[in-house]
Amino acid sequence: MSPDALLYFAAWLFCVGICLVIVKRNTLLMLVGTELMLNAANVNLVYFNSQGSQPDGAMFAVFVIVVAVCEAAVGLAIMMRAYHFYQTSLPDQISELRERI
Amino acid sequence: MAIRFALFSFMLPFAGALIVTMLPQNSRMAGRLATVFTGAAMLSSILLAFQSWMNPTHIHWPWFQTGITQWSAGILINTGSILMNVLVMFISFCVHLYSISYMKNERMQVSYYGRLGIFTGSMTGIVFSSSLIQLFLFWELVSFSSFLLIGYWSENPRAVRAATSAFFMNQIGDLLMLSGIVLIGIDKGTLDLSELGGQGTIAVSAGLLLLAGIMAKSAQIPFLTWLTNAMEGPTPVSALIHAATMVAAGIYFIIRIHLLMPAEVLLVASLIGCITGLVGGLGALISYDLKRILAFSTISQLGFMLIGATAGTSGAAMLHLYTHAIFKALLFLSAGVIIHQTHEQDIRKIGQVKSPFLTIPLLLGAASMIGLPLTAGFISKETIIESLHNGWPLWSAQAVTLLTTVYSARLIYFLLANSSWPTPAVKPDALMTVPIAILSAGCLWISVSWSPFDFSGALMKSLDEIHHFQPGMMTYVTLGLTISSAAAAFLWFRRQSTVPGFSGEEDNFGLDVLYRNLGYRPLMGLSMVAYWTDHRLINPVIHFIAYVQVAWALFTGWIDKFVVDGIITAITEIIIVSGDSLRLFTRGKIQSYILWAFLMLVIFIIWIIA
Amino acid sequence: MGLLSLLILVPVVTAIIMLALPASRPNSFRMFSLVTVSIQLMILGAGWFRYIPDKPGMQLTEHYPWIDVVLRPGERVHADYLLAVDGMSAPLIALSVVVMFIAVLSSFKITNKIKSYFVLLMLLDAAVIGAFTALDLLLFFLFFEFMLLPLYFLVGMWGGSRREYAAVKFFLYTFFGSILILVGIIIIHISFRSPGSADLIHTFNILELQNKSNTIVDSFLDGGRAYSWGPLTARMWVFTLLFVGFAIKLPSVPFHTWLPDAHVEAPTPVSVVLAALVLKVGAYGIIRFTLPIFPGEAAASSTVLGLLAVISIIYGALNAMASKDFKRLIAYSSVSHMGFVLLGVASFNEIGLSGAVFQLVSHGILTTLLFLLAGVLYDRTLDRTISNYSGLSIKMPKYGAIVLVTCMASLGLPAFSGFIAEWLVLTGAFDQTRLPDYVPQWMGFAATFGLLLGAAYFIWTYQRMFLGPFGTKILTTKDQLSDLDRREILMLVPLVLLALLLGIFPQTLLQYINTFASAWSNQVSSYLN
Repeated sequence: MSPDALLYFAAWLFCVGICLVIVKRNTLLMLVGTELMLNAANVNLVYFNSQGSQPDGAMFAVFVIVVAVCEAAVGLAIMMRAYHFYQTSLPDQISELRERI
Repeated sequence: MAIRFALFSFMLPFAGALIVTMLPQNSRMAGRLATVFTGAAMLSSILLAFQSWMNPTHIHWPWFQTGITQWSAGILINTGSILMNVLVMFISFCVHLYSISYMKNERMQVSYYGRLGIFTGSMTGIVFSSSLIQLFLFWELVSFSSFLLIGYWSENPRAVRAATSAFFMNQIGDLLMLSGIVLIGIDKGTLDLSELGGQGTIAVSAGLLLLAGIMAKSAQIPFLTWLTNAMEGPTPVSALIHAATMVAAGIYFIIRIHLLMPAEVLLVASLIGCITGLVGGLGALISYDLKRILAFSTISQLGFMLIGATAGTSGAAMLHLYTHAIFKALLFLSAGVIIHQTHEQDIRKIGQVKSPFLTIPLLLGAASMIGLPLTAGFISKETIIESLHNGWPLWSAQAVTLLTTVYSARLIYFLLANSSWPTPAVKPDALMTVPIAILSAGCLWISVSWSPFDFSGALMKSLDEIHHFQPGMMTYVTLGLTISSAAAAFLWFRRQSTVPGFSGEEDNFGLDVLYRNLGYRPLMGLSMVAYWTDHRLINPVIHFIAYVQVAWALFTGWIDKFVVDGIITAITEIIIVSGDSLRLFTRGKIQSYILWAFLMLVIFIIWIIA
Repeated sequence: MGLLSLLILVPVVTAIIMLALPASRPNSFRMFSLVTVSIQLMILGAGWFRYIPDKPGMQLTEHYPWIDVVLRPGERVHADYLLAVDGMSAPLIALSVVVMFIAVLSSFKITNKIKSYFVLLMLLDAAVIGAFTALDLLLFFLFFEFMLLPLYFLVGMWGGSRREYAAVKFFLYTFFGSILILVGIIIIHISFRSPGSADLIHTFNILELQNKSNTIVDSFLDGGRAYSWGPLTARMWVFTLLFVGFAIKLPSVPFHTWLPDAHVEAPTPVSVVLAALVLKVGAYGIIRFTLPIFPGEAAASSTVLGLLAVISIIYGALNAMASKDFKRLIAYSSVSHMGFVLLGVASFNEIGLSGAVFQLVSHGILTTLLFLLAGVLYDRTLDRTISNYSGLSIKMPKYGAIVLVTCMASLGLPAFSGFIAEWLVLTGAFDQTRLPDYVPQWMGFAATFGLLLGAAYFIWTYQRMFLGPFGTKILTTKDQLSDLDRREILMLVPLVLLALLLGIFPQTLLQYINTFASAWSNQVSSYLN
């Protein structure tokens, strides 16, 4: 496997993530998109770690995983609360702060 | 002292009226109290007569002034005014006394005596007034109180109409007289009678204007209708004001100022006196209403007095004024007894009056009116006839005398000798008898002259110090004429009650209709024209102006809304549209924010790389 | 502070205090207003003792500079706070205070929106008295205009069924007049200067304006230059402007049609104030301001003035005769009576002028009485149609008696004030000796005919409403037609006695008027020669 292919895979993964975040109407899937983007970053980190002598890339990757876990936990919790409060999980319908025209 | 008595007899009736008005409306006391006051006034008038008979006094005070022009008021006492004052007070006292009985069943006692008091006081005011403006004041007050008294039975529409028309007729004369007085004041610079006396005669126009006032007050033609219509008032009132005093005020006034009147005016006045005397006599001759007969006879006698005052001597006219007041008041009061007890005014339906308490006064009054010897009327009437020298006034005075004789005979026939109708049971009660008896005594010669055939006996000597009147050729002619015509008339009316060929006294010989068509109707028409002008001419112009204003306002409002405001609106619209289009980016969708952020990031990176 | 300022200030202060009071206690406003007018009466009494009737000229003067604007170096616009009274304004002020007292008493019947009513009434009080005391043309105009505002609301809010129409008509009419006056005042102002100063000071002071030597040379109103615009000279134009402006208020036919509507629709006290005081301000403006500044023009047009006066007298009387509403009749009788004022002024001599001023006071008293009497009936039945009543004096004898006396006084029965006024005016009008041909003699006779018409409509109305058998065409309960109560008698009888007093002792009033009239005629005749 050539290193370029790995970078291309990471870019593809990131694009899929951002597309999910932008296009999907459901918050859950947007959260999934975010995870995908984080993982795309992880792939890049792992790849660049393998190019150098020091393990700082791997360290970052571990950090990112931890952050991703935290993020997923907090995000899901917010989502649950929002669902309880607004009886919906669609961000378009949560428009409390939106200016009415 | 004399002034004080004059003031007393002027103030006491007013004071009486004021005090009487304080009483409750149906008070029994009112009549007695008012009579006491009038009696006191009469007493002071008699005292005044004793005090200053033949001793003229004149006193005057400034009343009001503007700039250099001053109008005075005062008291002018001379023989004429003393006599008139005594007369007014005497008749007023008799009428008060009579009214206590006559009006005892009336509801509004207090107003009645209050009104009588105001009238009596005002009349005294006329008598003593020393300046024309002061005289005019009381002149109008007399009109006013006469209005009140005629309209006393205010629930009777006829009485009310009579009162109003009397007031209005008098007002016409009064206002003409007012302008006459104003003209005299401007012309002569004073209105004081004694000061005017030294300045020669007044202008003819002013004199004619004064004459108009005199004619209205004395019910001369063409004003006579108010007096006959005024017979709707209570009979004692008719006796007081429509026989003895108010209507005589005109004659009294012309006697007082006849020296100021230019000859032309006197001529016109005597002409009017002649016509009035004849018309009034005719009315009395053909009327069947007891009171209207007396009213017409008053008119006729007033015309006679006017002839005497203007073509003869004023003293003679004053004398006749005096005797006429007494015998006419007597006749009215006697007629009042009949009317009061029979409630009938048609002389054909009254029947033969038998009570001597009435027959003697009626006979005496009629005799005095006709002018039979031994009565006061004989002396005064013959004095006037004697004082007339030239042609037509003398002959018309004779004609008036003749008419007087005939209608008096007719009246006496119907009241005392008409056996075709059941005899009424009429008899005056004590309170009525007293004034009737006093007045009856006044009809005798003794009240005027010591000797029944000396015309310039007691009274006339003081009234006219220049002329001396004795029975002359004319006296015997008149006397013969009178007696024969009285007898002939009495016999005629025994056979036939009407005078053929004449009618129409009910509407005052058509004058009522004439005034309605010439006065009332055009006035109403004019007032309608004025009303129309206001509502159809002036107001529409105002409305049109207002509408134009409103239309203009609407137009400028439209300009404001669509032109000026339009520009402002267009500018704001542009701003709003552009703002809205920018807002498309910030619609509150998280994902679009992310998209834009991402795109920007991409663009940024591309820019950095490039 | 002088008495006159105090007289104006007291009602203003009361109005401000009343604005601060809660509207929930209606009686407090009544009492406050009553106290105010009582204080005014006391001030009037104090002024009475201070005023010397025989002294010619102005008295009780209060003079402070008010506005002073430098237009350019050496030229200034100047207005004063100048209050003073003389023999004409003193009786009118006395009349105002008395009438205001009566108006407040009669306002006790007003029940809705009491607070604003009394505030407006007090403002009107101040404005009327201010107009009678101000001798500075600008100050006068201020007060003159300020009368309009309270009156507009008083008619428009508390009036009868057609109140909006009447109020708007009144406002438009009189405002139109005010504009004419304002234009006139401005032209007068730029054409006159104060004497005795090196600077060119444009003045509003009437005492300086009535001296023709104070005219600025070559100004519009310089008689020597005789500017003319169109058919008339500039002076004549300005005279006409002022005269028409005041004639609307007077009112003279044909500018009178606001009057019947406003008077009929207004509540009783406001009708009283309108007729007794506001009309007088128009006449006051003519006598005080228009004639002294333009005596030559007034003399030249006095035949026209006389004609207007005579037309007003007769036309007003005819309209009164045609009126079906009792109050409308009274309103038109005001037109007729104010015609006598104009006739007295037009006759241009001392007697006529005295008569005009006397008539102002007399009409003030009598019209107050008449409107109060109309109000008495309206309070009881809410109907004033003449033909709906007959024989009222049977049910209401006291009322009938006072109406009779008042009608008689109004038609000019001697012994009442109206007669003296008419006497003086007629003497003035007939008097041809001093200044020939000003008012032709037929006008005097025409005015006398107007008096006859006055007698006709008053006596005819009295006959229709009060005499004859009792009857009404409107439903009345038994005690609806009750006779006068004590408050009404308290208002009416003193006025009757006042009219009687002035009729029997006219000198009590004439001693004030005479000094004014002789000063006026001296001044005017010195101008004419």
